[in-house]
Amino acid sequence: MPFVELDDVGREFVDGDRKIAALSNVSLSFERSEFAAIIGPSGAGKSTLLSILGALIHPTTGKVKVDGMELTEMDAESLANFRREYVGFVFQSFNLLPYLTALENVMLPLAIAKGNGVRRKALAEKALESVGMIDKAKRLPGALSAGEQQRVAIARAIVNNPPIVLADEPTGNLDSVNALSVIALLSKLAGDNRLVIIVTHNEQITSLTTRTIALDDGKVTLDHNKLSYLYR
Amino acid sequence: MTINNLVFCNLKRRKGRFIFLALGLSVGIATFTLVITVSRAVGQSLQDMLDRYGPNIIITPKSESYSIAYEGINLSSIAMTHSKLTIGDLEKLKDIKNAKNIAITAPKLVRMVELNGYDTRVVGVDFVKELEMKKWWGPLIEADGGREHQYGKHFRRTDDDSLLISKTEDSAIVGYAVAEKLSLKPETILKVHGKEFTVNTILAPTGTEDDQSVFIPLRQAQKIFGVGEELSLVEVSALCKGCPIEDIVTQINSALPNGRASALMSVVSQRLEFLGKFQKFATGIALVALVIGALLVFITVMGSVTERVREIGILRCIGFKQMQISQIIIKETLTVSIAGGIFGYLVGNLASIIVVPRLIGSADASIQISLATLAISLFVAVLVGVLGAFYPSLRAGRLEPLEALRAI
Repeated sequence: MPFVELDDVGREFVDGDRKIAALSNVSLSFERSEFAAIIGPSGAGKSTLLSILGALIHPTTGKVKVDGMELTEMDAESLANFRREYVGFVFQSFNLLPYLTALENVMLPLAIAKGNGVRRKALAEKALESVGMIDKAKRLPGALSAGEQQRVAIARAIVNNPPIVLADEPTGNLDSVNALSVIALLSKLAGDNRLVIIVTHNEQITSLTTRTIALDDGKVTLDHNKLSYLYR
Repeated sequence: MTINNLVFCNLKRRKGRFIFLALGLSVGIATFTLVITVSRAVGQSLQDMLDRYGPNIIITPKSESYSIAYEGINLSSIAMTHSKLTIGDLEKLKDIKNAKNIAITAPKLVRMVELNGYDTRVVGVDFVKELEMKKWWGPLIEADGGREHQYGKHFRRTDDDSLLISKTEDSAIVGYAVAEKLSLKPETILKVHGKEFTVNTILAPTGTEDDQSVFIPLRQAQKIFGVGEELSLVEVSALCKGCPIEDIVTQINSALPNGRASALMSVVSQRLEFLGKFQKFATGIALVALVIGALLVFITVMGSVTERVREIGILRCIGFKQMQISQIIIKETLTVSIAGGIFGYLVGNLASIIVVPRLIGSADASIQISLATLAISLFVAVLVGVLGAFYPSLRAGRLEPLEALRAI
């Protein structure tokens, strides 16, 4: 059984009297250690697919299974628990809380987890260390460069060791050097037995991922798994 | 990092907004505390004042029956029994359980005599007590050729004036109607049972039977009518607070077997009704202040939630539950409410210390500052905070992550 499985997933949004199909008949499956890029033009449904994978919204049709759990049958509370335990998010605009230090931002997901303060701090420091930001742990986001902020955001995404990391345009606000560094970091996360899926406009990045999924008008137009070619 | 740390960090970050909110709330709580303290102090003062303003209990000899009327009480000119009320009986009132509730006792001897050819009611009174009880008494003032002419001394002006009248054993105070009927003026000599009295003051119309009465010192009245220490009646002004008037009446009746005390219930109920209305008015003002406080919290927290959609979205994405988001908002508001409550309580009490003596006109106004009042103020502040923040916190919790993600 695949780790993540989307079966004939569709999603509609209502805009006044109109219904807009953001996704139609999407069937995909993912395994751990995959590093997948979802590409496509604006409005292709990339972010909608990421939101469904991250349990932020339910699909209108179809089913989503993660680690054997049917997400479409979960209520809001169970979905929140799922997000806390299974998913780490990385955003284009980093979305760090400006009034918390880098360390405190990384500790945020642990604020609602079990465990004492010392352990939480140790975990957050470990995550910051893994992204090379431990020396700037006490800085506020405003005092960090864009690349550094994104590294802190990645540390926050992995601090509670989730099996899935979803990144929405993680390099969108970065220069090419920092972008490359962030992609390398995400690739490393996939190597740690995680499923890492990124949404990007930058087709060059696909050369660094193990799988490329192209979406257009809510439909999958390409699903290219380099590893499967390799295995073949 | 815990939810509490998050609350603290957010309060620190938005301290301007939260200080404004705390100040706004403290105004509401200060108003609440002030109104409650003032209403309590003024209510007490009013009650004391009302209780001293005229009698609310009348004591008459037990089986005596008079045809003479005074203050709505029928008095007979014929003594039917040997049961008598005397000055000495008044001492017994000091021994009743609620003696401290008896503010004034005004003994009277009432007789009908012929003055200048007219049957006139002569009342022997203790002037000091009578003036203390009948605060509405004042000298007749009439326009006289474009000038105001005062008929007699304004004995209410100072305590010394009152004492002056009482010490003058041959003075008389004359009711407005009697003075007109008998053409009496200040300094006129009035002969009662052969004893001469100098008219000290013509009373301004009172609308009561006092207008048809001549008041002379009690001792003189008892002497000229030859009744020893006998009294026709005693008017009592009792403080009702903390003791039902009926209880005082029962205690007086037990203490005076030869007397019959009865409460002027209409007077008592009017006073209680007045006090009740005052308390309701004060409570109304306090409630309005609190509703305004709750609205202020609502608007501020609602604004804060709208401003923090992005932050809420991030928290929801990383697994915060609806309840945990609401909890953050409520905890922030509660912290501010408690701070506002304590500050408001202090300001309210300070304002009370300044306002109450001015309202009551007495420096020794009792203002009770207690932990219980502080607890009530804090409870009210928390209640106002929770009520004001309830809907915004619910709205924040219900914010869908994707909705927030779109705002990002």
